[in-house]
Amino acid sequence: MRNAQRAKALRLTLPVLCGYLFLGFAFGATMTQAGFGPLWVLSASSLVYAGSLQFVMVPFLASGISLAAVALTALMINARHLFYGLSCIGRFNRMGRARPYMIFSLTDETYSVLCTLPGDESDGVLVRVALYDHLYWITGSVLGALMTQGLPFDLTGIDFAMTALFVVIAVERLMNPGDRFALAVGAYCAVIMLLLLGPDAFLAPALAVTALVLTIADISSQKEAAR
Amino acid sequence: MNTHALAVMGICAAVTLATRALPFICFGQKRAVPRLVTSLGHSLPPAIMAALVVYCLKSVPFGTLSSGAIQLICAATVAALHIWRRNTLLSIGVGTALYMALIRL
Repeated sequence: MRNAQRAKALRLTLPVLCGYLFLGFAFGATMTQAGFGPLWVLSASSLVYAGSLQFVMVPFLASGISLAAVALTALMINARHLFYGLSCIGRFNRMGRARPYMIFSLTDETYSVLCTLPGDESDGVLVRVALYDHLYWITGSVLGALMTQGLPFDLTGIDFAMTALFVVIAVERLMNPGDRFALAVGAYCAVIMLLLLGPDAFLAPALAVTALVLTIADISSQKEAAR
Repeated sequence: MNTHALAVMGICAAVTLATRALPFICFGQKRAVPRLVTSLGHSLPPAIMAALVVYCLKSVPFGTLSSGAIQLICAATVAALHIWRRNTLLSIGVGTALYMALIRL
């Protein structure tokens, strides 16, 4: 039975395997080239385990950024995870000892795979989906860190993979008319803050202002609807 | 040992775990989810993604013309490729390869 669960989890996570190996590799290479080697990379991918935040974090490591700004940025970038949990509460609550790890490892990709599974899927498959995704990410990252030195060509510029990833996600959202207002708010607030505060200090305030604008927009549209 | 870097990473790990755990702490006992929370749950993710794209391109207004142009061209290529093929690995792979090539010219 365990082998069947392993095989099933492997099959389900195959797309994530490709994505995480490649993106993890880009992350590992980027972090190592910034001066933080394989051990840092291993720690980051094991303990933080949040792709977009990990990439954004790299320049923070060597800079003098305040820890409060780091916390605020981390909170805003990961804010969407607040909502993933909402739809998983019921299922995770039935998982006993595996529950803390399931909560910890709830990334975008793991969440998407879990969403495709029926409510009565076995714990064994669910845990393996989460675990395998995590291992792919760690493996890709460490490979990227190790191979940055060893390869015959240099990997300068591979961190553009992060830009590409965010562009891809934004484009996906652009395809959905319901998301376009939010995309516009995020983009405008970010550009304005960038021009006002400069490239090193704008992100956290931009995200905070974005959340504020979206809240105001939501409340006022509620009032409109109530009239 | 770089204590600032350790602290940065520690905070990132703690905040990430906190954001993932918070729904289970707040609503684990089946309390009703406020409407605003659900609404922000739909609008925040795309808004943040757009802000992150700007973040990735943050040096464009301040750096050299050629480096800015290269970043914008490659970002546009990723977007166009993705609109055309909707293949994530292809879009990221081609865009990144193009960028790595252009900066070496």
